[in-house]
Amino acid sequence: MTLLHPQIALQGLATGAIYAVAAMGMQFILGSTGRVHLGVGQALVMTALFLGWTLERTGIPLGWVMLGLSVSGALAARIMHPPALWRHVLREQGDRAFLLITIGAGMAMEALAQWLWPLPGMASVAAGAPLSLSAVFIAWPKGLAIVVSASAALSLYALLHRTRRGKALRAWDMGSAQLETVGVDTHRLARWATSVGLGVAAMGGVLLGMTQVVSAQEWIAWSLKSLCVALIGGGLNPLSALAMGWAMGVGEAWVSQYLGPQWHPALAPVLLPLVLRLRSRGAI
Amino acid sequence: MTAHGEWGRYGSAMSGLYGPPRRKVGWPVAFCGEEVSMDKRAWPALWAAIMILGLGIRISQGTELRIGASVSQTGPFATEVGPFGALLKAWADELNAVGGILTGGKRIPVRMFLYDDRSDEATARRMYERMATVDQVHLMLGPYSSPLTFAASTAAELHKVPFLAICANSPKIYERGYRWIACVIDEAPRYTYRYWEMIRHEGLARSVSFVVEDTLHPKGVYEGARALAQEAGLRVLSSQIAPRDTRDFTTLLVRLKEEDPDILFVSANIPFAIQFMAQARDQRLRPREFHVTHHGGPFLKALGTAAEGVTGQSYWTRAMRGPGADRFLKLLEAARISPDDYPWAPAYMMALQVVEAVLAGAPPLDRASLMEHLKASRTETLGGEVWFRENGVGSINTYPSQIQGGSYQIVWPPELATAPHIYPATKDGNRK
Repeated sequence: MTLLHPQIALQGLATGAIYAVAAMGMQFILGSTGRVHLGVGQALVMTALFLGWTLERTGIPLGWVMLGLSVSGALAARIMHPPALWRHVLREQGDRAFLLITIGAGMAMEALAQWLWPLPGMASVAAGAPLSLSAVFIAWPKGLAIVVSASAALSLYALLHRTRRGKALRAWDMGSAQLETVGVDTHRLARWATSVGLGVAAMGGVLLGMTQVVSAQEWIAWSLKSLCVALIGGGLNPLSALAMGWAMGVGEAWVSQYLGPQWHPALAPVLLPLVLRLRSRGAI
Repeated sequence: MTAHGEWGRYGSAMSGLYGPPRRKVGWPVAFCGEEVSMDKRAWPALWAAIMILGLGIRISQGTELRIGASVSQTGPFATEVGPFGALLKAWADELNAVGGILTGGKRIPVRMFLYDDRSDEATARRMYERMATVDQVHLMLGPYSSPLTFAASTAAELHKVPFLAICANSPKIYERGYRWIACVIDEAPRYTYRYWEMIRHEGLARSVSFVVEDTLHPKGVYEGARALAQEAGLRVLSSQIAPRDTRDFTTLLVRLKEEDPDILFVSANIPFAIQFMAQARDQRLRPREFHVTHHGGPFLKALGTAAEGVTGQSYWTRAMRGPGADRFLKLLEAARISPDDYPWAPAYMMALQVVEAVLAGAPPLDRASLMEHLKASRTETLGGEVWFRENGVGSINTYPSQIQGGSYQIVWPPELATAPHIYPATKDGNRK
């Protein structure tokens, strides 16, 4: 077998595309407000489960479903993160409270998801015939996942560099007090960043639902994986999240090829401290 | 301090504040901010009420059969047994409609205590602790799967409650020397012996590769299947064990394509099996036969035509009939369960038939006697005769079945087969 079989690399890239989109959602909140939102995995998983349910019962085209679920994810996030929450968690030491609040909300949502979808979601098999490139096959949802992840990274990059809110988010590093002195409403900005971040994560959920079997309990694993990728990517940079997501997917495929599939989940948590030891602001 | 200790002292102080002092007898109790006291004469009446109530509970426990069970209504195992709580309830309702379960010529009501174990070992163990201590059940029916049964049966052993395992055949469960466990089905290593008997008889397949989910039951089945395949004269090309939550099988699939086995044997639970099969079809893996041990309804539903020709294991199909078949189908209808969707439902029916047979022997309704009668019982059930070995392992085994035209057909042994085995299963399999 070659160093990395093209089929394995392609599959790794498709998995990495989901990591990348999830990490972009996480990074949008973490990179601006400095708060770890552990509910990101829940946005991913619930959307994936909802996708299976929607595709089974309606004839809505996938593109519209993806758009609708991403917007719904953003709106739901806006409702579930009221201004009062931000007034509380943007204070000094509020990051710990935010972490606990989001993990608590994630657990509550898990109970809801278990009730709504007791069976694992299986929209993945809605796929048609795979595309063939020589001896390498790729199912079209996986190809789509790679394309969507790249498009999402470019769109978010533009959002951060071309809009006033995006520029304000990038300036959060100087401190929320300083931001407020130049007229930025940090509570509103944090709420907006969370809505966009969870909307992006919901888009990742669509990709997840199209390509994998998913169950309600997996949310925390997805939160932690996206957190690792976002931290390794570093800063508030969707392109770095994309690169790290893809690299993580291919890296896991490589680990799986040489060490066995049981070892690939260990890659992200092993890489994280190594990267942060060498570069405290992330790899890129 | 008064004769009533601290309570009395606070009571006096409070009454001084809010009104003229009253004569205090008995313990004062705060109720909606007001203090009320209980007359001494009330105590005997209260004790009598408690005793009558307690006696009532004991009497009701003595005249009803209390059965506890957990079902994985949520979590990964919900694909296999999600609605079985409704089946158990339908059984109890059916019996209670005619006065209850028959024991010693009379009928006593059946009371089921059902819980969702969330496909989680710790939750299952907690639920069975509760059944033993709070619900005071006479008998427990095991949860689905070996890992959950492994955890839950420790509660039964600790509290000395008869535990009838149903779909749990890992030898590890029965190697612990537990005395309070019995299982309807045979041990995992023999789970597929009829399939290998058929393969040997046909003499068409030459090689096999294994893909195994790294959990108790699939590993137990694999260990037995590997030895049986070798005994049947097949060459084992590889055995790949992958974690339960594996989502990307490309590495395994690339190797399997190079090996090109005649039979690809997937020993796994349904979510793992669906994920694997979907990717195997995407990447054009073409063994002559896919044998997926758990290929029940959700597997077929998720994969659609991609599941056509896949062989697997079933305990029973409609065409097999057997004792209690009509009743079983009625119960399934009442519970709104399709036997095609949930191939383990017959094993649950067999367990219920065993419970009825044991009770019919009129054992005293205490746990020790029930266990003794259970271990000594021999019951004709839907899927054959159930009896138990010393370590609790049962006698029921699966039959090889194949998805043909979207439905399940038993393909071996010839006397029970409902359709012939199609091998290779699809035109893809004729590639050589």
